[in-house]
Amino acid sequence: MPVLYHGTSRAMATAMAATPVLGTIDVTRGRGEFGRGFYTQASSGNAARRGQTLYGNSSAVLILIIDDHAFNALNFRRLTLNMAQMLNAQLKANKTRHTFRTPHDVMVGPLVYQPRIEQQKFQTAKVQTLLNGLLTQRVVK
Amino acid sequence: MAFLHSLVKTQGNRTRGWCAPAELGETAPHYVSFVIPVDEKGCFFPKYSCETITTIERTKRIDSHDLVQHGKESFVLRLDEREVWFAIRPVPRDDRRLPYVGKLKHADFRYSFAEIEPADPDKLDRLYEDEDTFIIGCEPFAHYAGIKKPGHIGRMKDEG
Repeated sequence: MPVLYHGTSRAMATAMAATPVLGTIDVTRGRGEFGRGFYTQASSGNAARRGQTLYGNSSAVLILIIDDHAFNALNFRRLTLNMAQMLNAQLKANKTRHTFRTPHDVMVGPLVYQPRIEQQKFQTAKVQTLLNGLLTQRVVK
Repeated sequence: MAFLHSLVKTQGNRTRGWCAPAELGETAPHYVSFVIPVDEKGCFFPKYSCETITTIERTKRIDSHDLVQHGKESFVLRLDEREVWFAIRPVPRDDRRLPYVGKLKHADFRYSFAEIEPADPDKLDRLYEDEDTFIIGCEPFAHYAGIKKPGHIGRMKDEG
């Protein structure tokens, strides 16, 4: 069962986790190395550290535990390190981090500055429904 | 004593260097690097101060430790009975020593920085998952001048 981490403020993490039944994650709001979407990563420690450096003692980590079957049924676009670096550079040069997305549910690839850590970008309405629904546990730590 | 810092690599005013993520906000890269200052000759200090943060029922406790040089390019952080090893991260020659290029202030920002990385990254994740503790190095809201505080900072003194 994939366990993914998103470091942010406690207020935002609590809002996204919302109730056990429904969350409020919005895939149209975030931006990052792969463009527009909601980002998570495989490293809990790095997520916690990123949250702390942005929000100090108001930070928290939103933990997503996604149903195996539902997660594996998604449409993935997997990037190598080279592809991730090129995409990041392209989006930075074109200033399109806030708009770029592909038709895939999820883009997966290494963190551009630390290839040992995998990151995930969720970008479709379908996956937003999954993240906010009963098949995903949302925990704030 | 100089600190271990958690910074991100960025381009500022045509100069490539390091910056506190708080200066970039949510546009900051998702990987936060561990960096240590080097002296005017480009040499490491024998020891750095390194802070950890432990969450206890929504309150965060900051504890201070020493990151000690051990060998030419290795460093060890001792947390109680645990050892966390770091090594100099292999990077292109031009990136081995980079300045702080942001606007925040700290005594260490007069130095250039070298990046280190944990020898066992999974160990840091386990530390957080099992003990609610992570390594921050230098807590920015406690130590960086000019930073905009996002919320109340409550700091418990270590009674241990």
